[in-house]
Amino acid sequence: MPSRVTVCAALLVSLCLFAPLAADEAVSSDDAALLERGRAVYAQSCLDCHGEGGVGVPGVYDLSLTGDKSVKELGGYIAHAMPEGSPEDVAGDDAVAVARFIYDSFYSPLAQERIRPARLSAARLTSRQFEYALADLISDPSWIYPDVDPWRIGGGKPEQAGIEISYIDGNDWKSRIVSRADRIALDFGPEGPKLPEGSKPLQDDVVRVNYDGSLVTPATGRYDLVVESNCAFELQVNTETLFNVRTRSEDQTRHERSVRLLGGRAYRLKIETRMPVVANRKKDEKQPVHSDTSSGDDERFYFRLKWVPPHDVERLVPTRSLTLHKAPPQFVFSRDMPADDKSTGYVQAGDISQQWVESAIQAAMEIGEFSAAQLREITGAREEDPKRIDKATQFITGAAERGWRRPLGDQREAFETAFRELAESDGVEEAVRRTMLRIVASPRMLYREINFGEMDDYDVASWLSFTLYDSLPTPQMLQLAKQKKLRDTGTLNWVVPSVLADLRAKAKMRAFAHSWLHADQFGDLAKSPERFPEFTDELEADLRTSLDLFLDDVFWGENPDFGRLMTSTEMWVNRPLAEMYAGQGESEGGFDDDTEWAKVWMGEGQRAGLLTHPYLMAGFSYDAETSPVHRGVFLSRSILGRLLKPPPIAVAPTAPELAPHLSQRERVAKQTEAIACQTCHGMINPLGFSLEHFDPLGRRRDKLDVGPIDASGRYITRSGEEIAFADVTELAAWIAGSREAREAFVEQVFQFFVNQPVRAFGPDTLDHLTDAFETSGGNIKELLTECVKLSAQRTQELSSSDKVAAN
Amino acid sequence: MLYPTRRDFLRAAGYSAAAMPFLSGLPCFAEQANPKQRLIVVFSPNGTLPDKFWPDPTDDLTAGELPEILQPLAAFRDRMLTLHGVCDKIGGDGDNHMRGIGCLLTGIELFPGNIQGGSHTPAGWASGHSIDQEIVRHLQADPATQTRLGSLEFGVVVPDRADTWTRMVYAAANQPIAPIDDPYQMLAKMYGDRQRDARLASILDSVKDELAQASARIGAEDRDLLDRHATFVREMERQLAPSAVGGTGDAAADAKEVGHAVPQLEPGVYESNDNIPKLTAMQIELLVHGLAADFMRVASLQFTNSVGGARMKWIGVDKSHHSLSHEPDSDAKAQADLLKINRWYAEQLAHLCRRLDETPEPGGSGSMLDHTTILWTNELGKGNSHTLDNIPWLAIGGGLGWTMGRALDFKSVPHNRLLMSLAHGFGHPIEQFGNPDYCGAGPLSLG
Repeated sequence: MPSRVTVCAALLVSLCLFAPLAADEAVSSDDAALLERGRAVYAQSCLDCHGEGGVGVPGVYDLSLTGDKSVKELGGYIAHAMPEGSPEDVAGDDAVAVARFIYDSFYSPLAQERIRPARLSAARLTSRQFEYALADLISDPSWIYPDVDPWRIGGGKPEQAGIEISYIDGNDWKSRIVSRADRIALDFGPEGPKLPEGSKPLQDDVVRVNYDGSLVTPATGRYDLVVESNCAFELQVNTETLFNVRTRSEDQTRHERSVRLLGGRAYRLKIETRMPVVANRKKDEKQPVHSDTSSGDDERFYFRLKWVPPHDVERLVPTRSLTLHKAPPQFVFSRDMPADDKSTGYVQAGDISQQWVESAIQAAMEIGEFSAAQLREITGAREEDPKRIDKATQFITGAAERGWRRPLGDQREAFETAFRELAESDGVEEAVRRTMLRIVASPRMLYREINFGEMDDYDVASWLSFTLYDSLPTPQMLQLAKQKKLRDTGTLNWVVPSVLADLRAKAKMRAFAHSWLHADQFGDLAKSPERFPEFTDELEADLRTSLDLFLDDVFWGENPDFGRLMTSTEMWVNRPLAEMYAGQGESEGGFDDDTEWAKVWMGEGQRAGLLTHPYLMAGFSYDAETSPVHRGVFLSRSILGRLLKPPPIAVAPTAPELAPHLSQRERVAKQTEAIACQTCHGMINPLGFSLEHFDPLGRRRDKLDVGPIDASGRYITRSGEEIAFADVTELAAWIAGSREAREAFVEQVFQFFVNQPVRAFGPDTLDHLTDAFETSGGNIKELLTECVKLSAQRTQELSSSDKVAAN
Repeated sequence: MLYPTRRDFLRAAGYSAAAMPFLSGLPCFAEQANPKQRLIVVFSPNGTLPDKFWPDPTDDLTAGELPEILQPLAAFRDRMLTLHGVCDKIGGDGDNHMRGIGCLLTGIELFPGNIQGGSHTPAGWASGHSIDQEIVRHLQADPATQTRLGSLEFGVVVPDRADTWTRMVYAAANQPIAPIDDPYQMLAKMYGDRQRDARLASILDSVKDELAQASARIGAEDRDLLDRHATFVREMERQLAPSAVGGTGDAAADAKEVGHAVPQLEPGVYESNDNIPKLTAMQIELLVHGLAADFMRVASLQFTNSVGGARMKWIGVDKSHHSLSHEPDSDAKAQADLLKINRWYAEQLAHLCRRLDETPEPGGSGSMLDHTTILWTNELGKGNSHTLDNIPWLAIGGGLGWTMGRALDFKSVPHNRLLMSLAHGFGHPIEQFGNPDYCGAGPLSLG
């Protein structure tokens, strides 16, 4: 693994801005004369290097002149530095005129749009969509999802949390007592487990304690499951028996298995244990339970299920991640699909690679084998069932209609006949394997509904489901499509908000947030063990949970307000976080244990919502020092939506020990003082410095070893307005009300969910959505609803236009 | 072929069976420098009927009548060896059925554990690996004897639970290897890649057609996406084995490509008591194919499990094998049923021998049986006494160069010594195996 410093240096290299900031001259409004003068100046002084239309000249200046600086900033830069070597050639009014010309003709995003209008492009499923669609292909578990939100924020039923536990006295199955448990943790002595109140006492010297329900997964990735037990047990997750410890030798008390699961879903969890009740042994048999232990009387018997979810540490599976619902079998691909291209900030999936095709086929093979192996579970038909082929046919036709997102119609008979013939000749299992492979490898499964001609109601159903939660339409949506109701705005008005309660939609929103905040790229936030011994893996995992809770609370809670996201003085903490971070604020009483979470007030003026969340502050820091550059880039790019271009030169950060008497602010300022750097870091640095009150663990600090903290700075908006701030709380207050920041948020939400450029939906779409967002007071839930509805309508309009080639 | 096996050659050359041991140690002119050696362990449960199993000790099993249980194997009596007096002396935790199967190939005690058998101390898994896996390690360590799979563990209707009674083979202490009793699963394990290739080949045409249809419907600007997809699909098709894509049309040529044809299994034979005969035939077929293709040189075939309760209705036995094995010797009906059951197992063994005997040794001389030793065994000596003495060991075939056609009586030696003989037969002279206390006098002399 590269060292932290190397990684950061590499990042730094990519952070410089293209144009300088200094500008003190107002730019006059556009008029034809000014533009004409600008055109003439450009032809005379700029064309040789920048080429016609600013596209660049190979070998002289390769980059195209595009960006999001204001005319004022451009003019200032040109007056100051252009042409290279003789900036005095273009100054004063000439600089103003040429800046105006460049800006209007090709530099600004609007100009770019005029030159190269964005369009809706055909797309395959994103890797995420493909994996989720496969998981929903065999059966539809969507009825579970509104109930099982682990945090019950804006959905989820508390009474569905926990897991079913049952006790069976020896082999007397009629004695079965069913109850509910918060955790999977048993520990008892000779008397046996404590039964629910009012139960008949156990008679047998063996008790079976079984659990049944589902695991609710917080994230996609590998889950390590750990069982600690000195008893016999079997454990099944989804369809796989992970442990079959009916027999165990005495030293086998810890069992570990790893399994890959998708996030935001429920997977069946079944456990059967067989545990001794020593007190019920007959007198003469009251020997040690195991032949070589001294006494059975004081021995304890235990069974605990722990897990290590992605980005987390080993803990007992918490109550919130258990549900009484029994999820149906779901397919999980054994490997990761190739990562999608996210270079534009979101996945567009308008490309395809050999690796992607091969992975998709591999997954198609696997789901075929999975379906054949699970055929009995899925269809309910035993091997000897005379109707087995009928039931398998029904299943496979259903899978084709789910996967292809529409009824087979007049192809149905041929499809079923082909399956039946294959089942007769090669066996039902092989027929299922081949047919599932055919369903999944088909372009009907792999491609989105875009640009294949006019959209019908089924296409709209797909548009909604993939946009909202990255998977196949629910049976309810397909039913509405069948009734031809989905192209109707009135239907969308109630369907879209209702789907937002689906855990998969929440999982997609969380994926958006992690991508938006770059938290999906943090990896391990290792901190210097010398400077920060208190920063443990547990703490890091808790901080991530704290951020997720904050986001969930804002997105799905009662007040889904963009302003709150930026300025909230609240933080979600558990006991360890409260001890570490909440000291300066107000903590609401004690915690029963580390799995309990609460929202606490951190003190007026102490915090600024997610901008100062310790997880992000720690993520955008070096291992022993803050990194104002990373923090500044985060604010520029993610929060303010500014475009950053590659830097002209590579620079490594100055090691603190080389300049120990300086603050980090001073070191960064010094290091980036060169004109080539300053032009970019003029924006990045002050934004980053605004967060200097937060140490590399995100704790608030009031001074540094080398002196007081200066968190003040200024920011020049895209429209050229200058904003001054004393620290991040002032900056955050401005961001919360700023149209620029809101527009940046709208654009990023839209493109993440829709997987197409917002400009492709018409030049007014972003403005329209931002207006609506402003009108709603920055309501994020309404924004999401509006993005989905508007994109669905515009896509229908566009696909019926002449863009689509006649067949 | 003029002389299908080396034995036929020797017979034709006028050598008697008695002269064979002398020759068997000599390299055969027709063979490679290092002829293949194979071992198959066959397990059937619940002890035997000693008076109907053991022949009187003799150096010539071809003379006289075979005991009733062995009669189905009469065709192989000249290549058969019975080993009376080889006893499982491993003590410790676990009842006799548990130790019977758990110590059978491991020669070492079970760990204390949580499984309570009938009236004995509870136990867990065996505390060491089994001899077949020791031999696999030996063979896999040498590139000349390495095979793709090392060994395959076949089962027939083994109960779907992991406990001491259902596991005979161990990779290491506490690491039992589950036998695969689903022939389709076994086929997939052996030939999965080719099956998958064939499956893929079967759908690629429809994918290409659909891509072409989609391409015709999509806007011109997006057509490139689908065209590239189609290119990748064609590339995958090109990489498939020719036989998978409809083949050359010449079955023999296709077979040659993998050395032999992929066995065809009757579809839809699910795991059930009544399907035991069919499943057995399918598993034996796969076993023979796997050995012929040199996927592995060590295998085991486990019928049910220790304490197995097969109900052999197809030979007129309705009761469970295990219940019958508890009946006293005086119960004539039970004895008759047990005889039928054990003879049925002998018939399956005979079928395996026949299949190996009629298959010429690939790349060598003689038949596959000449290069394979099959060892039939059981967790108990006798069902109703639950004794671990006189385990019914019976070997057939020429894999290990033992002198066959004999009925030996070792009186009472620990079976660890027989396990060591298996390794020595493979040119792997281990000095002990399992519990060293039972290895004192070294391997049994069987040459």
